[in-house]
Amino acid sequence: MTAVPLDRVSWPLRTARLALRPATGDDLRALFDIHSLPEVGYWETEQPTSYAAFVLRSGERGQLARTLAIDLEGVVIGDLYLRVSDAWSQEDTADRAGEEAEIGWCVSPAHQGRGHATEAAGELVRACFEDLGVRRVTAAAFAANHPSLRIMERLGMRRESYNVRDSLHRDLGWVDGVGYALLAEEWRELHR
Amino acid sequence: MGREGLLPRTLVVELEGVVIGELYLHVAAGWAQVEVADRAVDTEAEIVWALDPAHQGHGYATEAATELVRRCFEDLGVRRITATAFADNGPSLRIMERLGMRCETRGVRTTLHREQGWVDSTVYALLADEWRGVSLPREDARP
Repeated sequence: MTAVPLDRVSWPLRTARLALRPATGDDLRALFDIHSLPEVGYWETEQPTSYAAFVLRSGERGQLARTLAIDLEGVVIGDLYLRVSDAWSQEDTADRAGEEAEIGWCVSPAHQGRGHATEAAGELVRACFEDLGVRRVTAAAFAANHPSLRIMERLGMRRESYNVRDSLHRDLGWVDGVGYALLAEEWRELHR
Repeated sequence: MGREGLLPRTLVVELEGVVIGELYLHVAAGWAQVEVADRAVDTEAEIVWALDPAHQGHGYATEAATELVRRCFEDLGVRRITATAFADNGPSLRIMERLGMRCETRGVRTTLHREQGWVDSTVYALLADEWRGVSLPREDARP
């Protein structure tokens, strides 16, 4: 995996209402307050149990370097996840396979229902294709996380995977997972 | 083989003392939320097969892979098996279907083939309870 090539983007990215920028240590408290809410953590990979644990995870596992803060009029209302990796290829074609990006999003429940997540993720998808130059964007979720699936569909992403009982949820047990994808040429067709 | 650690995951397929192909087996953790990740350790197996073209068409790959699937579920105790292939690799997909695997992923132009360029990929999967032929109630019961 390559490091997130954030220097290929002119920060902050701006949409009609939001600014997106690489998260820093100064954002951790606001992000902890969001991610520690039970309804947010329910679908997330990890529910932070304390601020200290959240700070540790942000640094130790390189999570912060893959996090973009979503800023609404100076307030951090959520974050985006961005991981860039090499595309899948036969070994001898790897040097021309290019990159793909996996993305994710989270908006504070207090700010949900106003299209902020879609607006932020839509701009991230644009930056992935136009600024980072990846050829494919993917997103994964629990199949029952309907709000997230609706955002993927609004972004024009296609469902490529429906995995039966492949994902272990802390409360639900083994449940279904889905994978969505969008190719650069498909995105350009949607935004001509 | 050595550099990437493939050899310890490779099984030789032997026919009357002659090596006619290989199976690949990689056991790993299933996807899990962090708090329950200890319950997902070594619960998934990825399998692959390759047979010498001179010995294809006799059902040897299916026969070998069927035994590997049985070992994965009964001896290794995994709960899910996956297999990945180029979407137009018909012979391999037919083996997956003969094994009772279901197509879960159809990836569009995901994979760079050295001659064909960007091509589609598929992932098939099979759960232990499906393999046993037991119809268990779904845990998620989606509305």
